[in-house]
Amino acid sequence: MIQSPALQVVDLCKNFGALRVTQEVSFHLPVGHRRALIGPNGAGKTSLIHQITGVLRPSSGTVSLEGTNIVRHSIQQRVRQGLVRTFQINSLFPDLTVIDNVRLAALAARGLHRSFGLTVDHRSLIAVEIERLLSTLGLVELGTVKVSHLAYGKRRLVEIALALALKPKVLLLDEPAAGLSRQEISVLVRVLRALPKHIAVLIVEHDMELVFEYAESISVLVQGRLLRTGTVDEVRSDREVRDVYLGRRHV
Amino acid sequence: MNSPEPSATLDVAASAVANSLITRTVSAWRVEFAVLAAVMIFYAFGQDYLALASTALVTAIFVLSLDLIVGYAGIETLGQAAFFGIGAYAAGLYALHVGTDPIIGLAVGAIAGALVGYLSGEVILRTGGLSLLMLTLAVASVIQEIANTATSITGGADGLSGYSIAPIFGLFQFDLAGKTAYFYSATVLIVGLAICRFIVESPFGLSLRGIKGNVTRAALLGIGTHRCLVAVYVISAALAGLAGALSAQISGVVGTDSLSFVVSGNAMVMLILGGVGRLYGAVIGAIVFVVISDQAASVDPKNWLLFVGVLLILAVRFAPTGLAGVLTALGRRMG
Ligand SMILES: Nc1ncnc2c1ncn2[C@@H]1O[C@H](COP(=O)(O)OP(=O)(O)OP(=O)(O)O)[C@@H](O)[C@H]1O
Ligand SMILES: [Mg+2]
Repeated sequence: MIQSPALQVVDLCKNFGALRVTQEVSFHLPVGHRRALIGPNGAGKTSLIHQITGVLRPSSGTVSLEGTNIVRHSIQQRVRQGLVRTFQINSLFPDLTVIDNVRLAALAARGLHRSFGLTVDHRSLIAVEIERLLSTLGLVELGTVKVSHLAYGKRRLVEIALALALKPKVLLLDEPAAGLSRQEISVLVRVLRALPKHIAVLIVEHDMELVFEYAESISVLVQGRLLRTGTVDEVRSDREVRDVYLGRRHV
Repeated sequence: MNSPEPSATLDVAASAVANSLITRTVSAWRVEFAVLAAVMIFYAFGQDYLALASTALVTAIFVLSLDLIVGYAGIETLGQAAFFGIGAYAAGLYALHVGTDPIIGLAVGAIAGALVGYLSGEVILRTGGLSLLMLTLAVASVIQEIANTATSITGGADGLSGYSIAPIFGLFQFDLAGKTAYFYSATVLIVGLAICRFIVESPFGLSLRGIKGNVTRAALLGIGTHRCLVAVYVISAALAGLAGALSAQISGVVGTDSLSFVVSGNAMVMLILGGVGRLYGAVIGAIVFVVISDQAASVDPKNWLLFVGVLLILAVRFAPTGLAGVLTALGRRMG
């Protein structure tokens, strides 16, 4: 028996008027696979993530999670099914503390966000989860700080903590390293490396050092079309990819 | 060996546990204790002003209901009086036609408020911002118009009166001096405060604060934001209805002015004055407003509202986090 891929996208198309932002995109992510999605600014990477997660409705094509077509599922349903993303632009709860941000995600992931009180078991479960996430992301000291008082780089890490608290099976990261310091990037890479083996990751990133270091394979998106998908070495040495994207930024 | 030390240590430990339990209880319930203390102290010195004090306490419950939605869920409203008035009419009609038990009357008021809160909230909470504000206003106006028209039920402009209320738990008769009404209102306020605090500190309360801060993101966490908003709207409407019922019981009259925009608007002023989103701010704001407007009205019966307006402008200018915010800052400065 063949295991269904964690995520499968088939013939996805999306037009914004005359702009064909996604053109017949097909790819799949095996369970636990770590894939990078690269491409020039405006190539349609974020739009693709929007369609996978349900923020944007594709013009045609299918998105399947563990073999189930989820094109008609709401955003919330997809999240509950384990399809989780982070945002290119931070999207957090500014007036809540770091702990409360993560707590809210951890509660929501377990369907406890509407309860008026928690059992002792649930309470300790949530506390342990928060503790674990904050310590992996190096945020323990900042736990009681309001997110609106955090530096940008730290907010990016809280964004990751929120995503992980949702217990993803497929994690879509939209430029997680943008605006991070070298040191924060190394925390990020360590966290991404330490993710549970079964989580499939699709990471959109312009930081090629991070991509080459972290990804098992790379897909290249140009003007809404998938130009190439291959191993890191294949894509790195591909002439066409160099011409349209890598050549201009990386040796 | 039977040395005395272990048991002595145990005693010390036990008393330490008991002490810390007491400290923790007092600190967890400090707001309720503070209100209780204030109620007792006022009773000792302010016997002549019990009627005014009861009004302030009932108003505090009403403003508390407003803080629950405005301060914690970000639902802006100018129609909260609809639920207060509905609760008042429901309790008045119940006393007039069905039964005189005050506690059941309170429940009737709360249920009536909740019902109308659910029916309107389910629809209007699909919008937000300015349109929501206008819709809350519209709902309240429609209800007031109905009350004005349905004179056979509501008594129209004359309102409801001439009903009596039985002693509370069959024990405490409502007296002319207003002592029973005073302690009755105080008890309901303290219980209401405790319930609100329980709600806002719960996971549900955290979800509300999340929705208030970033509704899109809350939805992306898998939180059904509309359901949460409707739920808190219903709870708030129930509490407002309860306050209305209480008002009907202790004043003995219900009028269409209980449904009016002025009641909604004033409550919003009180909440801003006291401090939004901290519960006790609602209590402080209501009490300060009721006392000041009573004083101002006796000094200058014509222009007192102007005075209140100036007060609000000053409050917003010099204490944007409300009186409660000022208190908190003072407390922090003094350690
Ligand atoms: N809602 C929209 N309506 C119309 N055009 C849009 C919309 N959203 C995005 N676009 C356009 O679609 C194209 C792709 O945008 P997208 O944000 O997906 O690119 P991207 O690959 O994520 O770029 P970047 O690397 O800068 O983040 C851009 O030209 C953008 O202007
Ligand atoms: Mg993008």
